[in-house]
Amino acid sequence: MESLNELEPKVPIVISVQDLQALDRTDVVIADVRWYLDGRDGRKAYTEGHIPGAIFVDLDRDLASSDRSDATHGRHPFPTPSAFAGAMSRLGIGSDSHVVAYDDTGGMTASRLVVMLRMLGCKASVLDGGIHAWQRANDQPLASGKPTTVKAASFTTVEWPVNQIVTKQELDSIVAEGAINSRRVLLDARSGDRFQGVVTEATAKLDPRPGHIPGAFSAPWNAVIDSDTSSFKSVEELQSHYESLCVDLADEVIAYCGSGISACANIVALEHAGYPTPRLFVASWSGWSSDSETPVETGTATPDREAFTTQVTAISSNAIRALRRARQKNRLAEVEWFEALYRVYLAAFIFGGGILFISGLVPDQPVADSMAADVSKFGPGWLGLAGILAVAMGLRSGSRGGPLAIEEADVRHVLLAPVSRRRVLLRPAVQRLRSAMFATGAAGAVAGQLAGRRLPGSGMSWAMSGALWGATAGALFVGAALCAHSLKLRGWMATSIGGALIAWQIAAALPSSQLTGPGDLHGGLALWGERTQFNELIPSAIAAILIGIGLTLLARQSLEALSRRSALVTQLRFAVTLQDLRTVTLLRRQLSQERSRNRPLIKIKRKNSRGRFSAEWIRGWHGLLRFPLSRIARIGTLAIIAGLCQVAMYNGTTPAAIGSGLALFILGLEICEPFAQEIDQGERTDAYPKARGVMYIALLSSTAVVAIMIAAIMIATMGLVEPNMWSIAAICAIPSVIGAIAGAAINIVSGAPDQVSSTAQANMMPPEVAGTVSLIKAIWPVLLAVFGSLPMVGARMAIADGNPPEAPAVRIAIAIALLTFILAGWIRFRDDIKKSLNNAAAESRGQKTRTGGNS
Amino acid sequence: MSRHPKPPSAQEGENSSTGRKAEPVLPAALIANNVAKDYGDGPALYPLSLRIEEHEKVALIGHNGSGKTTFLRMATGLLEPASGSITVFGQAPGSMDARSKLSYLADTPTFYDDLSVWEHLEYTARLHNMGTWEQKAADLLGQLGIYDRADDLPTRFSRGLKQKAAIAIAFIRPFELMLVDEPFVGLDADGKEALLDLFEQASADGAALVVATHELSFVARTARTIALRDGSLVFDGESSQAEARGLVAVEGTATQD
Repeated sequence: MESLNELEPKVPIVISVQDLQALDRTDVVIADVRWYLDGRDGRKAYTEGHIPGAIFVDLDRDLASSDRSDATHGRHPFPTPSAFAGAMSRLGIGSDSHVVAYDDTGGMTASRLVVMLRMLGCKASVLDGGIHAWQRANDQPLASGKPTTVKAASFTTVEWPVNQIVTKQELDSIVAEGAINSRRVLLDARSGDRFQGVVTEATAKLDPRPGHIPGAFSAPWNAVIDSDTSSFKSVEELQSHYESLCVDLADEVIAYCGSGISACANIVALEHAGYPTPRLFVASWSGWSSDSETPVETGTATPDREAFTTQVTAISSNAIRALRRARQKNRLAEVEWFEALYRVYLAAFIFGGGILFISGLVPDQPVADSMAADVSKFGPGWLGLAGILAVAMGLRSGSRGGPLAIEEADVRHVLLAPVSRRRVLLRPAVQRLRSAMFATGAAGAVAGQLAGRRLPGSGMSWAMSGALWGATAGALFVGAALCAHSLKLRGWMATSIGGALIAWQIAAALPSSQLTGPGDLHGGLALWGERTQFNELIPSAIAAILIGIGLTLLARQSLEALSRRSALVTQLRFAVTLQDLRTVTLLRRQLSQERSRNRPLIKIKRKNSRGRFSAEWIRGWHGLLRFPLSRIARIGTLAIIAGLCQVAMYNGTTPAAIGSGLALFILGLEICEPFAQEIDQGERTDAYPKARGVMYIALLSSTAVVAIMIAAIMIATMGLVEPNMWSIAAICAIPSVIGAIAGAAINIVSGAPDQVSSTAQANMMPPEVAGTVSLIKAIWPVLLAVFGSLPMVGARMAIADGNPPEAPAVRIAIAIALLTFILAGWIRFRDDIKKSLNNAAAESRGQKTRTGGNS
Repeated sequence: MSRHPKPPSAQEGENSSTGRKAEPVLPAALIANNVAKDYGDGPALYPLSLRIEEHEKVALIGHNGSGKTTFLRMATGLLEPASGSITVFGQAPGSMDARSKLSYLADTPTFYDDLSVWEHLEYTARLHNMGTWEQKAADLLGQLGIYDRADDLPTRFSRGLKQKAAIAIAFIRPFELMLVDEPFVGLDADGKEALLDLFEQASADGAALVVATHELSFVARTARTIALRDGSLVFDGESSQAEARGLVAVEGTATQD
């Protein structure tokens, strides 16, 4: 038994009288399928007058099974394939025939034959307008007489296709789930009264049990037929009719009626109007309602397109919510609560201690009135820079695909699913906004509180205004970023706009200028501790507007950018928690798409690379000369900042040592790149026939040369700002850079895995010790970098005492040089030291170790 | 280029520190002695013993997860055996001596972010104290068909080009034993040809090769095949036998399920 469905293109399902007459008549069979619900005899009507040449098809006998044993199959179940084939064959309908069926209702019963034949892949059409249209178009009278015997035709027995028929079991589960929930539309072709379950004499005869299938819509078959002409309505009218029934919104349409006859009219009309062929529930209402257990509905059902879409969307939202709940449950199950709380405790401890310490540095006596007046006058200008910077950074972040970070799994599965992107991204966007505003607000509050201890006004009100100022800045950042991304702002445009705004604000903030800067209002927010001006809430309103626009346009976020950032940001967060600065550096570079140059800045001639210089030296320069301009600019800026901090230290602000140290530490992380690359590629290093320690030191050789260049920039900065500093600058700059590089190198190398297996040592330590150790490991390199800036402190102290500054500076510089030398030795020999320590420990434990390290 | 091994000397056997009666022992490139590995969620490799002699060309076949990569990585010293021992030319894996003789071509190519292909070759060659390497580098790149990409950064390459660059880096330096993990993945037809030629040349120069692969054209050119399944050795013998035993399908892929 084969399927005939892949035959020639199907003939039109509705055919006009004119087209019928134009057809090649040799294989056309005209079929009269008249049959009446009220029991009148269709055969009699045929005998009285039929289209000349038409055969008569008895619906009850030829198009329905005589086996009524199972009531759930309805009043007109399909005949068996062989019975149907036999009936068709007897009627002279062959598998190759083109059947044009008609009746006198415009298609209620003719459709049944046509639908059945087309299911089996045969050519069949409904005559548009039926017998009435034929009569109008033809002068010939109708033929009369009983159906005559015709020559039997060959009709292949074909199974009814299961994908075009709905069984009661299938419908049971569809109804249980809910038609809309499964994105299906159920169309009921019965009259309105029967659909609603109105009990009258007429309806009770046909429908012993009143009502309709739960979730179905009323689509009476005669609504698609023009009552005057008996033809099908125009395609436009049909489309608008079915759209009101949400057919276009559904994945699938199922048609039913009383017993599977008039439903076919809906099927024909839908296919005629261009919709995909619906499926037929053959048993229809007579089958459905025969089982007293099946649910029914009564009353009207209004197909609401909005509700349909919302329902479908609600399903998706429910799905997303369920997904998030499940993931949260799994994630929480994995969290080691003790460890998490412990980390929080440590962080709070350190953070709180840090705040107290810094507050201690700020003396408590209030400032002079003139100073307070200065703050009021110039404060808004400089403090407004925060808001402007936030906008500029936001624009830049948005132009590069920020600010959102979605997990990679979400990008792959949820964002590619047929659910509204806006809904999916709403939650991450709100989370981002919340965390940004919280962080900036908290920082602002702390700063405000510190300021409030010296300025007039209560500390609390200063803290709150600081929080307001900070939170607005955070909101401006996220809002600007969201808008920049959704509006597809280009990188260069973002940089230009941001740069222009910053320049404007700085120009306005300078004491001598008369300009008002764009951020002045925002800056004024911070001063609400002493006075309130409500127009300063305008930037906050702007932030709210930007966020509103950004959230509305969330669907325009670029999938490419989100997927690129997704994996990176997750790793970045993880690396930050682990205080793994190297990974943070690498990931930040990837996030801003900063890559090594394809062509080095200066090409080292191939013939120069032979012989004299070590492989590591050359390799270091290959790497350094591939720094992208953005990185070089960053390094230069950091050097200048360090120089400025040292100037401040020279002039008395000792805490600027921290600024200098931090700037140089970050700079050190950048210029140690060749060394860091080798650490990254640990497996490669272990394959070279050279000791790791030796290679590491050798790779720092090129970095040392760059250090001298950095020192030169610092000296130049210091000398230009403070001309009488030249000699001190020269003495202090180099140790600062060397100290910072030493710190950075220590930090990077401590990320390298141990070659020798260190067994369960780490597990033996109590949590406080392990936690403190990891904290020390993180802070120690930074402290080292800050130490590097100490010579300047020594110089300052000497000046304050009235002594020449060079001597103490030189002494401290020498100390730093010694320290660096020791650290270099550690980098060189740490593997050997660890190995011998391990061996010693193992021997004392009486067993030999397995070594995998250098021999 | 690899050095030719010195002939075994009976004196070395007699002076051995174990004091056993000396037997002339042929130097073996790789000796595994009941080496096993467990990753915590089940054994990846059951105790495995085998010997790879110098100059041998061996195909290592097995389905995914059969333990091939685990074994190779233990031989390079990147993994610690849970039990048993491995020696490479009599030395511990990862020792300086072993490193200068062993070249490992991993299944996933990794590169420095900031060096071009040529600079990778330069760095590797010079770390191995090669005097003149430029001609060899150029020849390798030419053979692999990536000479015109020599100045580009391999981190930006497609998978196939990355593989070719990694192959060049593995072959530029001298070696007496090469351990290779699935090198034919991602290579186009030309690349496969080039790699097969490189293996032939290396073998002709006297190096021992252990190649974990599914590629039939390579297995057919080896004399010896070792098959692993689920962490155990199931076959160690003539490559032609492996085919006869149905371990390697005629169409060109290993059939172990």
